[in-house]
Amino acid sequence: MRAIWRSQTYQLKREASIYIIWAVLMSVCVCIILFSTKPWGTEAGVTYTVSYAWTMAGDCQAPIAMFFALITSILVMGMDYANQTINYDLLAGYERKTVFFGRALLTILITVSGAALIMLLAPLPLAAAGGFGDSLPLWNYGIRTLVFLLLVLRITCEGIFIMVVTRKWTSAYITVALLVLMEETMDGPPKNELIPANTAGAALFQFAGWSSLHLNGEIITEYDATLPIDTLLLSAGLSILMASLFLAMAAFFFSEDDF
Amino acid sequence: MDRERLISVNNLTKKYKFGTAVANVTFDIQRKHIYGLVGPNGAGKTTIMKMLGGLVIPSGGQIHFYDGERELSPEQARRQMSFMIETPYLRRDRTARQNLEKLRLLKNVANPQVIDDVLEIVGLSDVPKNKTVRKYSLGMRQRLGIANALMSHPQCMVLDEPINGLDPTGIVEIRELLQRLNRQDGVTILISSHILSELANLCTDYIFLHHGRIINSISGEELAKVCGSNLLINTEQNQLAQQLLSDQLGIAVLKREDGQLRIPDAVDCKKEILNVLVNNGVTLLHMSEETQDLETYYMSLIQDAD
Repeated sequence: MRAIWRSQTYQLKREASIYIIWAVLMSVCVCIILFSTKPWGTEAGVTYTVSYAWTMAGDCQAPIAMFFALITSILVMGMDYANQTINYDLLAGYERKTVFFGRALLTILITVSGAALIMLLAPLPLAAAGGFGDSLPLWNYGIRTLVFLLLVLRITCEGIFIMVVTRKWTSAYITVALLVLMEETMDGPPKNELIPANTAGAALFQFAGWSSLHLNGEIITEYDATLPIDTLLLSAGLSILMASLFLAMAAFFFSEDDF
Repeated sequence: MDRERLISVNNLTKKYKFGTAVANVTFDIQRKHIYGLVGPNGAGKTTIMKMLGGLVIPSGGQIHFYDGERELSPEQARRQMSFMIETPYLRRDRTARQNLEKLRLLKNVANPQVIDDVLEIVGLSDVPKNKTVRKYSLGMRQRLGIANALMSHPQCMVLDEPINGLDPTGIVEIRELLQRLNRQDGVTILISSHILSELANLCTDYIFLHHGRIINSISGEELAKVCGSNLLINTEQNQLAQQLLSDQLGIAVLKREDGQLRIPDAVDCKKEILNVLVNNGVTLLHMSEETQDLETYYMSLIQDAD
């Protein structure tokens, strides 16, 4: 498996598209935060802080990070299918499960670390205007983000599964469109908002009793920052379960496929 | 136990929804031989090679790999083999060296110098280093595929039409390379090609495929004996002649497309054949010896099979 990682890492380091996708999405996220908080504006003379941006994660950083995970997982896992260079992994004498899990684990590493960077770095430009502030403690945001990254893991495994199942299609973009459609159609009246990925991300960054007001140039927020342990545990459990399911199904299809 | 046997294929079968690509194929690959896999398009050559490489899962049968008397797992065996199946699988937006470097890391070949060495061997060392594979001709991509196959110094090479797209000089170079690898390094080769004259110059053994089945397998020595020992006859009553020869001499007589009769391996039986025809009042119009090369032998096999 180490050889598969080394050769894949050699290739991925030179894959400009991954960097471009991350940079574009990161820029979009930063722009959304800045336009939502307008730290350069003088309307109400309010100074927004980094920790305030953390409270926005459910509507901003989280969906963008999930989108990054989706696109990148399909791109990284699928890039060698169209040109059939994945065949060399099998011809070189590696078992199918080694090839699959070697690639899948590397894909997960890339998507989770990319998503983590978006969650952590996107609000930082606000530090120049208002500093870190105390809207939300770092440990609170950190724990929510860690559970959120399990959701990113789930989405990555979903992308891997879709790629393996639909690999006969040479266009990864059709695959992405299908997956987005699938995720969107899971919206509606879910029994539990943690089940569909698009609502699960937001649910992790919801705060009970939220209210905010501007006073003497400061933004004062009132909310219950208590960590919703039940929600976090359920989300983590669901994410691990669904990630395992998608990965197992993908591994099965991969092992039975003809190349 | 045959210590010279490298691969043993038993009743190998591959079925798809649209039909059977390979049906009950059985053959052995002996060490240090060069096997030509011969057959028309759709005969199953590439499918067999893909099953040997683990790209396609057989529907039935077994493939066994050996190292002397010890049986190897397919993965262990493939680490000692190299494959070039269909067109070489390459990243077109990368250079030759970048493609080979990735594969060098995959195959755990320690020495980075091997890339320059194999590019030199296949005649690509003068190509600008920053030229991407997208700008390569078909022949250059084939050479690059062969370079990849050479990188790990394999014991056995499986090559699917490696000379496809090469110019005449390239064909000779690759043929000489493969011969050198076989003679000097003892590399076993399984090669398919539509250029039968090239296979005739290279191979020690032949496996003939048609509609997914082996219709014949023969060594080069046996082929040399068979070729040039056929009789061609034409009579006024070819059908009667065919019947008489079959009944009285037990000879399998084959009718060619042009109506003449071909009697395989019968040059030594001319006298007996003439006697039968004359004694039964069949007028002989023409008799000659047929000199066959691999191509005509192959065409006669296909004709018989159809």
